[in-house]
Amino acid sequence: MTVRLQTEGRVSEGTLLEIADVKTHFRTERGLVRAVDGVTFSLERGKALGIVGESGSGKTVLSRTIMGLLPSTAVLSGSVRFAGQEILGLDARQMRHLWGSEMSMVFQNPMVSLNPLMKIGKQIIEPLQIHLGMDKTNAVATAERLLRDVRIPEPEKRLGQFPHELSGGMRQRVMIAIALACGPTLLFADEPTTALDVTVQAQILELIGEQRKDRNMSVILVTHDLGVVAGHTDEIAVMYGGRLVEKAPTRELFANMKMPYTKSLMRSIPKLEDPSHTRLLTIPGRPPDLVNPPKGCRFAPRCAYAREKCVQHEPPLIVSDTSSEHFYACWYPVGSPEFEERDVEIMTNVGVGGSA
Amino acid sequence: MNYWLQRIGMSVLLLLSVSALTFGAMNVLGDPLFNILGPVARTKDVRGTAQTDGYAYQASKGNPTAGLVVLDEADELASGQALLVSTDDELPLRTDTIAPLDSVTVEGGLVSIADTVSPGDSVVNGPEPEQLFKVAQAEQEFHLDKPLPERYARWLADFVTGDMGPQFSKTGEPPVTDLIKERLPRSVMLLVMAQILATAIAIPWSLWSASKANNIVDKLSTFSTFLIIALPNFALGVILKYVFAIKLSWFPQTFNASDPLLSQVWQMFLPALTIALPAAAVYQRLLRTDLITTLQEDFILMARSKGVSRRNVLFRHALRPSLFSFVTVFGINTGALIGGSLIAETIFRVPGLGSAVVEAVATEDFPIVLAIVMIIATAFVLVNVVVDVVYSLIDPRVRR
Repeated sequence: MTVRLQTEGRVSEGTLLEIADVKTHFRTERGLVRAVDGVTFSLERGKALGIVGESGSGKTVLSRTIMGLLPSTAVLSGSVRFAGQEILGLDARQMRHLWGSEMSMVFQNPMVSLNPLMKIGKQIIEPLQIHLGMDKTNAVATAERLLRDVRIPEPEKRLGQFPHELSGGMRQRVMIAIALACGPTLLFADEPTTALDVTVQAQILELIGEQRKDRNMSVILVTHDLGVVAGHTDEIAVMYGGRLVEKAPTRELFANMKMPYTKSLMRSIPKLEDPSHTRLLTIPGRPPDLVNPPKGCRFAPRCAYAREKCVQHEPPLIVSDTSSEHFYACWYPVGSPEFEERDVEIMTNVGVGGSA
Repeated sequence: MNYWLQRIGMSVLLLLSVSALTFGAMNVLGDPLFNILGPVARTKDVRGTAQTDGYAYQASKGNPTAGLVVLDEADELASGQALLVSTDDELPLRTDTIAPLDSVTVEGGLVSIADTVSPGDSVVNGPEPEQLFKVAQAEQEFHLDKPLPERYARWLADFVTGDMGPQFSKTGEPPVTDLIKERLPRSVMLLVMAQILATAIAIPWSLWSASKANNIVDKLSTFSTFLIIALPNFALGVILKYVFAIKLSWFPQTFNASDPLLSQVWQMFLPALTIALPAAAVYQRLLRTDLITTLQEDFILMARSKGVSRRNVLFRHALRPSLFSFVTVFGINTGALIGGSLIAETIFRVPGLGSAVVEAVATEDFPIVLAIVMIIATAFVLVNVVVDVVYSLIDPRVRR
């Protein structure tokens, strides 16, 4: 079976990626870790989806599951359809024709994600030669153009340099250049700015956004920072404990967020209009144990708004009353009478004005 | 530039220390004269007695065949000096032990002795004159009558000009330099063959085993490496010799130095393999561990996500960053094996440095031991430089 997608077979519009009830479990000595536990969504060509959640929410595992980059110890189920073709469970030999050519990934830490012993040029040329069969001269010219595309000054000089001779921001640009080299239709960016300077973060996100528009590429932006996805995505999916807990178009989510968890994430972002030294709200407790997840809502043990029902029964993912594209999984969402009642109590106790 | 000057300075200092230590140890702990002459060396400890009263003098300086002579009449003596002795006196051995004669005041005094001596009628029951002559000659030839620092300086001066001195045991023939010239190339050839074999075995083996980390194949290969490492070298050599040389007759059983070079290479295959297998097993352990660590790095995942094939991920991305411990141990092994391949050399009768050093230690032939010690030390120093250069070739971040 060949997985090499023909150019004419590429999806130029419509649904590029469709995943349904994806589960990624790992067998460990402690038991089965349910890192991703039944996630469903789809992504249109050219759109950007943000996957948001704390560490351990399963967002990175989800993106690697879709790409098929997990170790062989992972137990996978569900369906991942890429350009109409089922790719979940394909082995690495089959998947590698898609890797770099159809879908590619920008990793979190550019300091350790480039081969330290290989010149930048060679690392960019590699996918060009593998997938596009370019000869060396052609590939070098293309690599130089790619570096120019990602705004690296003196690209011809950079090609001969090693990663350690470049700054963190520059290295992340190189990573993006490598990821874009073969013109993939789907780009994963896994916390692409976490390891970078705040000033560089915005530039990198801008760059990914620009390239997305130029290339009509879909982007999955994985981050723990709602602020990062706000300006750079069309849709946001919030993950908690291996599950999707809220999903909506970006504008809709920020206007009418339903999950208390999403709201907590929002409150943990510093805001410009706050007076200086305003204490940020943190989410108490730790992410759930993925070997023995809580019986009811997985967020319930840490949720200030949780009631008896939350602990006993897991809420289903339901459509919001505000938008048909807005889904959430909560018994007492933001705006419900029970939520408001509790919120008043909390805010008076803490003494912090939460307006989010 | 400054760095290399420092390096060279350190290396020279190291070699000087090694040679001074070895030289000192061998001269203080052993008796070079005995090693040269055997029991004859003991003659210098033999004391004689005079049969009649008279004057004793040492004639060995001018006439080496003469020993101590006791003269009746002091008046007959002209130039030089002698000591009045009586029959009960213990005669000193040699002039230098008598001397300074002029400082000895004996009743009857010190008298002059003649250049040409009329033989006295009394004989000394002392050492044989020929033996004493041998001792004196050996002391002169090997400078054993000089103080230790001077002897070291002389040896060093000879050594740096390529003269490693005469052999002690085989009446000085052939000179140590010639012996080394004959043995060293053979040992180097054996070493190079062994290291090439070991590397050729270890790299594919470790790549294969690291890519299948912890499954049954990897566990079996771990078992075999431990088996090879645990099996003593002589046992391995004997097994290889029995199977491939005696039973299968693929290889000759012993080495023949008079054969043409190409057939010598063939004859060296089994001894080289005897050295290579345990080395390969050690290299495999190191490489496998480092490869497994490297394969967990993010840049490996990155390489895979670019669509690089599994084989190229291993060869182009994972191998090079995993070479450091291998290169280090490879270097140490090279230094150690140059004189330490004696088991393989003995089993397959390859006359190399290893067997030379065993013989030399057995006969306490110091110049040979010293020469081989220096070769090993020099090899260590050179290999260390090479290892550092290789580090910088592997990792651009090490470059200065």
